[in-house]
Amino acid sequence: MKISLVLTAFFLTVMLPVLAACRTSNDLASGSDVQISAEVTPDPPVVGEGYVIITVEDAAGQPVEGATVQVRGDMDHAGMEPVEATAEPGEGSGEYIAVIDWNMGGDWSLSIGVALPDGGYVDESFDFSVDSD
Amino acid sequence: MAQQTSLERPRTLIDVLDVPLIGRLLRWRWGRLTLQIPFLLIAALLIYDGFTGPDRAAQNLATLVPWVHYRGVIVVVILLAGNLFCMGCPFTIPRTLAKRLSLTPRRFPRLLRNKWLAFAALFALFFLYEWLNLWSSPALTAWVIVAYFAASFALEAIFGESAFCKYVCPLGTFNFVYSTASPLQITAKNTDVCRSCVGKECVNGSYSPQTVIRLDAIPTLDGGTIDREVVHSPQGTPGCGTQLFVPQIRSNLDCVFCLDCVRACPHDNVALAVRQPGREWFQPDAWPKRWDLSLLVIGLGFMGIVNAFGMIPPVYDLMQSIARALGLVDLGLANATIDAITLLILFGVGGALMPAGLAWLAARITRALTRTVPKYNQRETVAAFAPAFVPVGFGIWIAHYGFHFLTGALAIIPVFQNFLLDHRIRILGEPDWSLAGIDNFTVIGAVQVMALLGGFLWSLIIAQRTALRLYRRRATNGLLPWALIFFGMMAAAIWIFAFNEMEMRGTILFD
Repeated sequence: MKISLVLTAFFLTVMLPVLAACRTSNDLASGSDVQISAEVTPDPPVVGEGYVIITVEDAAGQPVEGATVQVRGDMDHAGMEPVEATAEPGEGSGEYIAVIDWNMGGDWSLSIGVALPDGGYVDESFDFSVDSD
Repeated sequence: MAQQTSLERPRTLIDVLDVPLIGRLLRWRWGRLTLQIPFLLIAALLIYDGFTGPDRAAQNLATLVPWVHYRGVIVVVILLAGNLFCMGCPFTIPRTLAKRLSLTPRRFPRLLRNKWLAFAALFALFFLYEWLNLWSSPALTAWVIVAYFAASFALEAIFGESAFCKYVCPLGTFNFVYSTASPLQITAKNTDVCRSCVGKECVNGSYSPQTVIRLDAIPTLDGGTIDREVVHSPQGTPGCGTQLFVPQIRSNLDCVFCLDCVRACPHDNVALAVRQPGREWFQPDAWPKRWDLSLLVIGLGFMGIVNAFGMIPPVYDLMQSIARALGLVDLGLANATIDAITLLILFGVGGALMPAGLAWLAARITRALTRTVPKYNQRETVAAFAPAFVPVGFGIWIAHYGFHFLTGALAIIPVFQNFLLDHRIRILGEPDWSLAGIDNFTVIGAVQVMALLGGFLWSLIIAQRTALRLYRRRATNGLLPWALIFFGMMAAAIWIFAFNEMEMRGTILFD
């Protein structure tokens, strides 16, 4: 029993901080001047297919063309399958449109990752509440 | 040979402890610890990921494992085997240290030696789960786990019994109530041996700072006695933490399946026996006839309904109606405050007042219809029918927790892969986020309806047997009020699960 207590104390006090130090950073943004905005259609979104209209602008407010935009939606309850989509260029400058299948009503968090033409990467999260009908 | 025959168990008793390997592992001095250490490591992992990992619930082990896997697995394990989670509970490991640090262990206050505190703890956990959206916050979930360790440690350091397990722990309380359905129970092999036992080690333990040896005269089948050597030593095991005396155990209530009684018994007279699932519900003397226990069991079933109701859109309309009716919005209160007040009302009415009121009313009607007002009082009548609330309540929890588990069981794979990748461990490759679970809601719905109907029918059978035992020819009259409550509970649950879209929503705006 004493050995198990020592091992437990060792694990909790030494190993966990070491593990935490090894953890990679979640912040991959290298184009922090880039602004990402997102709107949904319909608004508010309802269960079923919907659109996410993403606008990407640089620090000067100029639209960013030629970016690769990935969208991932997670429900705020664990265990639900996320939805993922690649946004296509829209009609407006710096505009990208993704088709999202909102497969359940509730609170969603959309993670929008933008690979910039200059090799930079920026991501941002947006929260939406999806109605069941 | 004489010693073996003297302790021979009844032929009808099937003892899991006799199963090769499993029995040996369970009896082993460190058997419980073998189960607890993996759970402790998992708990440490959840705390770690909760505080340092992704803040999205869907990508964090701290939210996925407790709210999807633990809850889904626990209801199945309880139903098929029993209270195995309490057996492997990691929260009790630091308790051992607390016990050694404890200088003057006290008894838990007499006023609190009942299930009222456990009922309040369950209520608080369900309320906080909804109000703080625990399911969506890895960090808050990690704090809940830390709080469990801290509470268990503190109570064990102060009190000389397993006060946390018996009187406080909401998870344990849930397990206690529903493990009454399980097919396993601790029992004495031969009660004559217990009667002759001097030390009652199953409850008192066999630990002693210095080795002490005594001889017990144990009865044999031929009417004689044999002397059995009993050793107390520093290597001895503690007795039952929740202070159950094995020959008096008629129920799984309060039994954490630690098997300390098995290890402490010097006469090998304790069995982990196979029994008819839910047998104790049919035995009138199995449960104490106390208000706290009866209302806990009844209230837990209703809390299952309220908890599931929190997943469907009508709850938001109701909460907004309550807020408007009470003028909470006009008071200029913050959304979180209004949310807390309306949830408290919802949970208070649905999870406490309604079950208590309905049980009281049903007992009054039953006594009047069966003309047993002088014979049985309100408390006795409610207590007689309380066990019948276990199956219908359990069915509701299985339907709810089963939904989350069936839809998300496989999500553990990509989340764990992601966790490893976060630590630059690529052995399991890139996560496949499409892995989640069954996405056919018809199949899940069928499982839910089966659980609800099964629970309802089982409850009816228990209540009918109880009514027959108590009221004989007026049994139908006695059964009627309770059957109506069971039907109402089942109908409400079916309406929630089958006629509403499930939602996972935490934000409610009051306008």
